[in-house]
Amino acid sequence: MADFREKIQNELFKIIARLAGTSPDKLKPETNLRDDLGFDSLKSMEAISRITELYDIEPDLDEIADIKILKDIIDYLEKKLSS
Amino acid sequence: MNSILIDSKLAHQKNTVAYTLKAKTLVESLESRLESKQDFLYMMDSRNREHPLPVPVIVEEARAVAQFLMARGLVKDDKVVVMLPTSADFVYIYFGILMAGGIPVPVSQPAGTNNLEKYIDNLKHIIANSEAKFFITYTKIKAIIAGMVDSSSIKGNFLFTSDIFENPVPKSSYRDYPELKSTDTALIQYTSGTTGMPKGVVLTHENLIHNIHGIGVASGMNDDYVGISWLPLYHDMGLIGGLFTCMYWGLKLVLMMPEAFLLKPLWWLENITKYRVTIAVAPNFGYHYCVSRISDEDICDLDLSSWRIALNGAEPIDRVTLMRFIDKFRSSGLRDDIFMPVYGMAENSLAATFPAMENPTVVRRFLRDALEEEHVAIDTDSDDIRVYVDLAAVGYPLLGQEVRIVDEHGNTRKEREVGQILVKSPSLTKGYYKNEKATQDAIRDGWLYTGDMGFIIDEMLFISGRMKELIIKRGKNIYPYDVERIAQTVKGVRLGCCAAFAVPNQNQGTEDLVMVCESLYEDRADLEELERNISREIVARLGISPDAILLVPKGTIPKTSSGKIQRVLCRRNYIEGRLIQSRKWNTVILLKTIIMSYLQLFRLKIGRLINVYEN
Repeated sequence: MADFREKIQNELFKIIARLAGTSPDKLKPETNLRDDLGFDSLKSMEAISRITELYDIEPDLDEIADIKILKDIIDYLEKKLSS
Repeated sequence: MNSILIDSKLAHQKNTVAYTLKAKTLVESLESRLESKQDFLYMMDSRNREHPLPVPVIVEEARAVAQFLMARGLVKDDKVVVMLPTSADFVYIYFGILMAGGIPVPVSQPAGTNNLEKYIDNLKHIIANSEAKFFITYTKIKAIIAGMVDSSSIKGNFLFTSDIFENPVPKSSYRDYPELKSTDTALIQYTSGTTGMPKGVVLTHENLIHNIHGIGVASGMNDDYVGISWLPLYHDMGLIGGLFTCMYWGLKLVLMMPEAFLLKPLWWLENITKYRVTIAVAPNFGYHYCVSRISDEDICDLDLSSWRIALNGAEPIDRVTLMRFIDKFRSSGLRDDIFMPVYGMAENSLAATFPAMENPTVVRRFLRDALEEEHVAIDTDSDDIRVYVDLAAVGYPLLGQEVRIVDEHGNTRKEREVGQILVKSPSLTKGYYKNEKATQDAIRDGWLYTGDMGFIIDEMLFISGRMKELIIKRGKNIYPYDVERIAQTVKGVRLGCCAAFAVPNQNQGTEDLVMVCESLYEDRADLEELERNISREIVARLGISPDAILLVPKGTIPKTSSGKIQRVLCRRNYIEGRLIQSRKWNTVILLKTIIMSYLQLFRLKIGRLINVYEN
């Protein structure tokens, strides 16, 4: 399970880093999309959309509305993929 | 379709074709479809599942809402602020308010927790300024705005959709509906904008119906058309251009949530394929988003051959985006003549000009310098991006509308001369609600002073820019002054030494917000931290992030003799790569710059010599 989580995290960080114009090793699970990366709501939506596409998940808008930090996305993906 | 100019030298246009409106009020227009075509809305949920809403259902539910509100004390002309997602409930509640004789005041939802403070400030202002009697929203939003409820005058008349739909008035106690007139207010649309408080544009049934009638005529609408929209219903393009226009012209309309489009733009095109859509509306970035976010293997199942018209508005239109979109989806049967760049504003209900159906996309190339400095449109066939600017024509005035170009003294300008765009029409608002001063500034002698700059060639309107150097990012208006003011509050930025401006981003299909700030910092780490701080502050206060922040040494930003920032010049220096960032200011670059500027000088001199000989 830990490996799986790590894999998700690595892939997520790669996507987020590209969108934020930074490198993946500067990101942490606690990184806040808005406060640390300067993402507005559209960019956050794009980020989530790109990562859910990678895992072939049809995301639920209500569930992703509360995402604030990168860990929230990892938790969400883990939940979706294990269900 | 459009009248011929009496004097082609004058940049003034009028469309005087006779017309008859098909309804007096929006409610009449909706109810008339009980008799004609009941097949109307297809609401798509957050997972793109279809929920058909035929007209009888909408009328029934809207009447229930009207009865509920009347029972709760709503009387004629009471304002009701509505904050709801793009949903069936929004539609029921909007028409319910109208049927009860009330005036809907739709407002946007808070976008996540971004910028919540400013959002609440604006919302409080709207509730107070509109003298709202009710505020209707949905339960999920409770946590976000709970604190606001107590401090607001609206306390007690704060309704959730569940209150309304779970406590219907028994049919036996239904009251009579008030009589509606075409001159009754049918919408107060608060304009966005980052400066000052939002202003409420008052629009009557007559204003709106005149506008949607004109939109339908200009796009050749009939009830065989099928529409699609993912624009939010609280916004004029989604509400008036999408919902009302399709209702009035007998169209079937596929209504998606904006969030669903952003999450999966492929759904938009899949729906166009499935429902055989003929007309769609989106701002420029929507088309770009599809190009960048839809993978090629997903395209093969699409059939876009039914798509006749793609309305493109709210943002400067970018030719490259349109070409890429057409190229990408050509194999799906997409026609290459679907794009209709259109122009309008909330004060004029929605639309002011539309291109001709037979030649919808007219893009012409002009000399940038002449446009920006001499304010005249001169054709060019240059291939040098620094020399030319491509502009898409936004067409001709809609039925009964007039467009005029004036100089700063209000004199009508000649063809090709750039000036402020004025609009006059039966769609035009009487003014901003309870804001006499703003009304007098904007509307004089029946003409709306749009603040947009443009010119007319061959009877077609071109938009060349905006006054006050307004920046439009993804359809959102940003005033440079606001961004600059915020940046200046960050420690390390020189006071009064910031410039914010827009640069077209052809890859993104929108405009980039560029921020140039002077700083005395020289240390690389300090500069990097400063950049982050500026970005964070702007996102926190405005909800948008600058696309580029340049930190430059003291004295880099050009100013007028009176000390005002020259944004246009600064922008040009940026585009031409003449702004040197602080962090790059090392010896090698310094030398390179000096050599380059000598070369430039040298080239200029040679150029002059050649000119002398040629002459």
